Amino acid sequence: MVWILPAIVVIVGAGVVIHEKLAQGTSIEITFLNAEGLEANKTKIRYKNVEIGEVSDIRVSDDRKTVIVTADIHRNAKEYLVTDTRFWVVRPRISSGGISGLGTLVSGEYISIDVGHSPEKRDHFTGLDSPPIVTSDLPGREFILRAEDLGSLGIGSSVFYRRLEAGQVIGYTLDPGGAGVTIKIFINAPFDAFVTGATRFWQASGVDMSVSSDGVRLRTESLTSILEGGIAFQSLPKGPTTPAAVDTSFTLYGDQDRAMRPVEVEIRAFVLYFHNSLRGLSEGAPVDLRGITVGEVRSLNVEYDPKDGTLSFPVEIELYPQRLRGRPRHPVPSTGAVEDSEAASRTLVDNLVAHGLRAELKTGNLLTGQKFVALDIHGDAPQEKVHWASQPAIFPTISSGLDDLQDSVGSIARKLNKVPFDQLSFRLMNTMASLEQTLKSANQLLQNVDLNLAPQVSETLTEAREALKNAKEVLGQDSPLQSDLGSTLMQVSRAAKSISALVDYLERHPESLLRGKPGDSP
Amino acid sequence: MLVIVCPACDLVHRVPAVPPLRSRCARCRAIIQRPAGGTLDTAIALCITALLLFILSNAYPLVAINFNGTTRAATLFDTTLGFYRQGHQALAAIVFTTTILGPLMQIAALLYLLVPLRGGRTAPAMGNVFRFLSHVRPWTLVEVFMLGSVVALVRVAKFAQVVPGVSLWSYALLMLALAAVAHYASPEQFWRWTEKRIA
Amino acid sequence: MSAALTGLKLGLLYCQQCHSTVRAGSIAYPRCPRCHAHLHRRKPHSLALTAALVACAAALYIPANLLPVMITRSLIDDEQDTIMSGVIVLLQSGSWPIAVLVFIASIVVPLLKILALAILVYTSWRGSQRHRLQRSELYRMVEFIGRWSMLDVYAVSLLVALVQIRSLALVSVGWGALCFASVVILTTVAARTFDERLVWDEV
Repeated sequence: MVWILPAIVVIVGAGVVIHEKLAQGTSIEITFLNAEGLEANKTKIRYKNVEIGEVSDIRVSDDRKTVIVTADIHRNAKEYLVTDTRFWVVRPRISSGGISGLGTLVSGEYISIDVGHSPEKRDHFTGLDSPPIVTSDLPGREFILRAEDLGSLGIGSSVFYRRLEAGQVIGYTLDPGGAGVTIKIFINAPFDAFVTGATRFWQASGVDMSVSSDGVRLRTESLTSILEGGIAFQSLPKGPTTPAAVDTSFTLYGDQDRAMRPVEVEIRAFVLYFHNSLRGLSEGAPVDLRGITVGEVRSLNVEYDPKDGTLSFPVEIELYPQRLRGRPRHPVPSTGAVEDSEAASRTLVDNLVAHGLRAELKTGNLLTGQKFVALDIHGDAPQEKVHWASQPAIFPTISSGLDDLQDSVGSIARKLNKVPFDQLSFRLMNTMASLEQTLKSANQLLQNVDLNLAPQVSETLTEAREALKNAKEVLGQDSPLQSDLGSTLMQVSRAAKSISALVDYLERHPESLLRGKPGDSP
Repeated sequence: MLVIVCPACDLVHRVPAVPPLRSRCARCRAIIQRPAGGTLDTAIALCITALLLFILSNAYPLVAINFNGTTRAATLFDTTLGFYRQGHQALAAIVFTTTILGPLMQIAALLYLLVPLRGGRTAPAMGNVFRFLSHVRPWTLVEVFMLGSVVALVRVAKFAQVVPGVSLWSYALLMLALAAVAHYASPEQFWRWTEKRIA
Repeated sequence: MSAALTGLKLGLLYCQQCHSTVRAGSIAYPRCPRCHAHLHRRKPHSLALTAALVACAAALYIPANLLPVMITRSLIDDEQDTIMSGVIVLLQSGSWPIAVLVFIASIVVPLLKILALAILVYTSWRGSQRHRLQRSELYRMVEFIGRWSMLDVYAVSLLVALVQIRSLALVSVGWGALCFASVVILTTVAARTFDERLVWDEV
């Protein structure tokens, strides 16, 4: 009967043991570079800030290069421990993505976990030095960009789509051979659907300032991108719309213009010979036909002709005849064959050249001094042809109006040079001398006048005054002349009146002329 | 009828071989005889119980404390180790003997002596083991340890969260088991069983 | 000489281990027939041994109470606790029943033990016949209570094992604890070496 007692103890003991075994978690080892901020029996492991374990031991590895942290993980978190699960220490950090982990200043550092999706279990992990940019449960896709240099990009730099933040740079490496840089980016959903085969990526870092024949242009993506660098992307209007597969490789262009440049189907190379300075013309400058960009300058060169001892400047350009064709008013039936297209463009160019299409250098922007190649029809240009024989073909050029201006100014200057200024000055001096003489005599004359003529003149003036007085008397108001004149005038007016009466009567009685007035009998 | 002397005052008494009750000395009131206890089986069962409890008491931590996220647990052996690590080896030995070694030796010795009795035999070197047992017995201070740990936990509970472990309860039960064993397997009783079995 | 019949008079020996009464005979070093323990009329050198042990215990009692038993190192300060200061801390923190318990067990009892044993040794040495019953009971109490003095040592041991948290405190044991444990052990051994029957022996 008493044996129940040990039996009870056995049962209870077994129960305790089983309970402990079941509640037991697993022990894992995580390797870090150092144990800064980590403490045994204190530092916790957290998943989405929920405690799932605790550090139980920290020791230096045998090769003294790393620190091995042993952690006990709770039972219900055992399933998180798979091959691609990652661990890192959360501590205050300042990075290009911002400041993170400030809460740990108060609560103490902890180890965070990003659970992977692999089905394989694991109990030895290598801890990350810094938090992963994207955690494995973030929807989106990774892509690869190839660029010449990293620019101002770094891990965490933003990727923009239509100025919205669409993703981040998650890593970069130097290409083997050192020829370029491969950048890995992660585009968040739903933006990843907009990355198609026709998408172009460009560096949107900082301030994009371009100085060209069009002037100075300033472009920025956002304030953040000025500070930390960024990439922007957009799809070409025409192109496939199916989303690109994960890890598709793209080229990272230097700026938006270069990126969004449509792919030219047809490119014809030409060479232009100029004789004046090319200063202000740069590679990539546009070849412009009355405002429409129909080509691009490829390279600038110098040629020295030993025979004449002159220098000429061949400029290689690329023309896109596609743009010249445009929309013809009379649709030309297309034949479709490549040779035909070649011949067709040759014919087109010859045609235009025959009509006076020439290339000249023009200053696009006086502020920047940038030049560009301008194609234009010059009706008065001398006849020339395209030299198709040379490789690349030589396109006729014409010197620019500015050059002419320079010439004329030059000739004026030359003319001015010819004027005998020294002789002229000598004559002028003589003229000045005689003029001086004349002035002297004039002065003398005036003095004379003053002395001699003056009294005579005053006498004449007095007599004139007398005469005027007399006249006044005669013609005065109450002078006899006046009254006589008055009475005379009165008589005249009476006479006039009678005559007018007579006339009136005659008008009424014209027969009175013959018969006389009634009442008057002979 | 037996003639015995009082262990306290040396007074001679005549007493029945197996007393019905606890009898005391006429002069000094010391206990000179104890009545027959339980059966041998009881004693052995209690010993086994005590042994199991002893194992349990050492397998898991006695108690764990939690302060500001840091947890720390201590097993029974950790109390010995604590002193040992701090350079007090003598003290460590004292604690070890009185809390772990003593009880273990007591249980082991008793089992060693009692089990063969069940089979009608006496254990070899019975006398030596018996004497060893009686020397070890006073150095088992399990109950004092229990009270001491209560005092300690009361002090700690002011600052940190105290979580008693399985082993604390099993050690408390061990204390009771050992007390029961001492009652049921007193030296007198043991010799009665021995004589009965041999006879 | 009283009329009491003692084993001494009748030549009966008592085995301390197996509690049996043995007729001595005239063997020089008799052994118990049951358990083969050495038999003595009285515990050998009881008074001398007990006196020596009590003296040691008394000597150690002073450092046991003066030296710290526990040193608590926390972020703020280092605190050294003697047995007495531990009691005061318990009182101040409000757990006065425990404080009383520790006080009695750790300070009163060892002192009592030492005093009691000293009295017993002295009275027995002097052959005093007075208050023999009381003295016997005093002895039994000493024997029973003795072990409980270790209480504080065990408390320290658990604290040392548990409280090793840097942000809370680091507890370490002080030399007072060893002295104290020695006092307990010495008095316990002293109680065992003292032969109670000496109280009742007539000179």
